[in-house]
Amino acid sequence: MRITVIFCIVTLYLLLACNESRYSDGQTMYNNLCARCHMEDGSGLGEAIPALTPERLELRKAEIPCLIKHGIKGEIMDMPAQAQLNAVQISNIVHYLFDHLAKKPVQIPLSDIEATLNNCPQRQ
Amino acid sequence: MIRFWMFFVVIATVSCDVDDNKKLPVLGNKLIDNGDTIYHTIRDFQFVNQDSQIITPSTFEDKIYIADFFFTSCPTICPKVKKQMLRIQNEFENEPRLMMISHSIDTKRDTVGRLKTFSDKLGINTDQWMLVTGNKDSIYSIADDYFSIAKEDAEAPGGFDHSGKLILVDTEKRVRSFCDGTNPSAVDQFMDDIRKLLKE
Repeated sequence: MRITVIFCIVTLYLLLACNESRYSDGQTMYNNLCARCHMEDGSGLGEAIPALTPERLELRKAEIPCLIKHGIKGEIMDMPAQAQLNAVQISNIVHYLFDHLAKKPVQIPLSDIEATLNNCPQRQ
Repeated sequence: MIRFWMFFVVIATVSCDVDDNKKLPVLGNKLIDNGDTIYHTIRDFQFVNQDSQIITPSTFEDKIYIADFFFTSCPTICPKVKKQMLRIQNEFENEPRLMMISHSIDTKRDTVGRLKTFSDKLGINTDQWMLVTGNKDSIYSIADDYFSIAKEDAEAPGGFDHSGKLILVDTEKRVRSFCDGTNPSAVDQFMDDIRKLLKE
């Protein structure tokens, strides 16, 4: 009996844990700052707002911290800069993107993100 | 007890039926004039679409349509509303009696060319869904007829106050339904209203 109860609790925990991103801070910031345009599921809007597909994320992986921090000038819509975010917050968003949207978890040391942010190219 | 439940089930079923057959209400003030009811309608208009075609009420003759207000560089709710409108267009792609009109409220920046680029990027079917611009005052005042909001406001994000409402207009230019275009489940109900209106 006790084993059954424990088994149920563990299963329930695992089920709930599956639906929850391991980067909940990143998830909160993504939903507040990015999802307005890129949508909660990252599907974007036609070609006006790019979908955050695994391929696109992989292709621009090295640039992502700078793109988030400084924004992008677009043909019709600009991606706004989020200059208020620090390296830790950006790291949380980047890990959320890869973990949850791309389903390809990455582990990037904070020092790498800090180094990238210190060497961002001039905003295009 | 069982009898009570059967009674309840019958009532519930009957009331659902009644609700399904009920026509959509006509929204807005009504005037009674010599026994005739005069409903609130959308005033006449003349705008220009993404292909430089003149758009007037005759464009929507014998059709029902959805209206909304947006601008291409909108940093807040517009992308979500446009996403839902794409879903509606997808759902009703084979329905020639339904059209959609998105009014840009940023008449300075949203030129015809910019609306064209935007419609290409959204990948919309412009036979059914058009993006229009025009005289600023005409656009702002027609928003009132649709019970929507379009207003310049330097304090607001992007420079405009506007609502993400989708408005459903019948063949008599009367407003019959509306929803919050940023909310997918509200849009589901709105699509039921569109189907209902198409059956009238």
